[in-house]
Amino acid sequence: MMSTVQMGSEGESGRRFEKVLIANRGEIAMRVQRACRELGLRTVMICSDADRDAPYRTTADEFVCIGPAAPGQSYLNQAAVLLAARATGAGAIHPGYGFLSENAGFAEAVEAAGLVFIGPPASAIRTMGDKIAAKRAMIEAGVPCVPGPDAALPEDIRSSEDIAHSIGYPVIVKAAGGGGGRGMRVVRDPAMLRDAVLVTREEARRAFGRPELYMEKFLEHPRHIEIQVLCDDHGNAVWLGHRDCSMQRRHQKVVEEAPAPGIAADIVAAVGERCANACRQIGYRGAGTFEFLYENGEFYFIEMNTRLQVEHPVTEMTSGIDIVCEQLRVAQGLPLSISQAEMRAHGHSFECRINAEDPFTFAASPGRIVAAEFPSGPGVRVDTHVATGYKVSPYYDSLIAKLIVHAPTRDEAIRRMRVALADTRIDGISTNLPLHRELFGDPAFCTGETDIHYLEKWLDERKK
Amino acid sequence: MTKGRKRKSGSIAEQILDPATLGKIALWLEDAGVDSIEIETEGGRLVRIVAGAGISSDGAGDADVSVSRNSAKPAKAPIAGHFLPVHPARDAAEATIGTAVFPEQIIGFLRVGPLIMPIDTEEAGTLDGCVVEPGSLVGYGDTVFLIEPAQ
Repeated sequence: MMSTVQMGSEGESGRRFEKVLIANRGEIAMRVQRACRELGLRTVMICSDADRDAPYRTTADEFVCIGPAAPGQSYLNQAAVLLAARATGAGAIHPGYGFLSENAGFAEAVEAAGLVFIGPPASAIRTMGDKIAAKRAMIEAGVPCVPGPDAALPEDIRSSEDIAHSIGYPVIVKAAGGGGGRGMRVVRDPAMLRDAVLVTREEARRAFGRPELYMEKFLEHPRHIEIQVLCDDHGNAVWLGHRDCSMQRRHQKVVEEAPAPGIAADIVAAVGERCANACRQIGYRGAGTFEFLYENGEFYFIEMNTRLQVEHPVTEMTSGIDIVCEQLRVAQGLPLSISQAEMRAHGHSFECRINAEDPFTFAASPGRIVAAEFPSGPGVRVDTHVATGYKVSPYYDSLIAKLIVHAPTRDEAIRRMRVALADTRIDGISTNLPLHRELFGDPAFCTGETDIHYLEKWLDERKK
Repeated sequence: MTKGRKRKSGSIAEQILDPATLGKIALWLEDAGVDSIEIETEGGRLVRIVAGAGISSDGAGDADVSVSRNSAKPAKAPIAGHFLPVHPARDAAEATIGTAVFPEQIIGFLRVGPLIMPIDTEEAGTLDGCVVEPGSLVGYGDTVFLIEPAQ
């Protein structure tokens, strides 16, 4: 399905580049590097002092340390990243996920330096980073949103009470500049609204640098459903299917699957088309994800991630599309290699995030891996940067591997994942492998359609 | 890598540092199929001679030879860039191998596009060696020079 167009040649929009600096680390740095190599693009891998032994140093065309271990002085240091790009002659920067990937100022700085930012325009990042502006844009594009105004809450608490009354309790108060589960508070009782607004506003001011809040209906038992999109500079926008990422703990996803079970194809298709239309309206480019809450057969937009996501492999497995290669093509000014009419989803895919942490207390577990064995076989994919001898750093995210399976049906994919998990061995540090093994034996999870609170409740029950 | 290892007296080690002798040894190693040899003295001086082309006779900055004492301290790159032993606007290096250096003295440069960033010393001592090739890419924290601290 992928085009065989040779990269490094002049794209239709003239955004030529032959060397890509990958401004990230870990498994996603390796993932992006692999796509670049497949397309004949040279790679510059950066690292911090803590990542000097990263395995991708040997497959990079250039590997250069840009700063100390602390992320603020290395992977989040915009000047250091740009200087490294300048020193190595890179023509483009791929930000991966996390770090600088959704920083509109960085995207602007990259373009101002005459380089290509492999991602959406800074304006789209900025719009989607503001939850109120994003909601307004989605309403204009006909994307269904959670009930509640597309405007900031007024300072006057009585007006907030009126808004809550019109929405109907329970409501959720959120920071406009928030994300990742931070800066939000559920209010079930009108008497609690005043304190909730005051405390959340102060949190928002401190954590995100801006005090604006907004209010929405709080959904009691939603699922977290995502729709993956890809767009180019030629007016093409496609959606590649949907994912269910409801298996979360403290807003951190643990298991993802595609497609989301039990949702009628026509309902998803209608929402997917609106997402693609929204992208055309806001002039979006590259990969993006629309995140929804889903309850009682209805989708409610919550936010858009303007970057590649950790869980993109499950959509790659079902769609057959290499999302990172498409990002690179689009950044070169080339059109997408697939149209919506050509898009077909096949089978079912799961992804388990393997983290270096205690499986049930979730305390981080850095240290040296004394033995690592990963599964293989048909329909099994492992995205990882670790191997025997690798030292897991305490400075960064605990994700050390993504175990991904694909099979014709959900039941077969579950069985395949059970075997893959049984065949995975990581010694020397604690990992959440035991949690995954238990989850894939849990009857409710295996039946499907569990909501975003299921894992937390399951963990609470397990403690008793 | 095939590696030979042999103990020598300090005086012989000093003689080996003669560029002409280094070149000869490098050719002998190449003929013998040995990639490199390390010569260690009782005083802690280590000389590593690498076989093959690239041996030059005009000092450690251009030679494919690294010379260090066990007590030598690294002078590291402050950012990623291409190493320049001499500032592009000048004729000579700020410091040459074997000369005394003082704290915060500029001893080399890094080029990042139009920017030229200095590499400087942290403490006084003798500039003992340069471990990277002129023009090569170095990263933050990479060792560029070795400095034998003042007694």
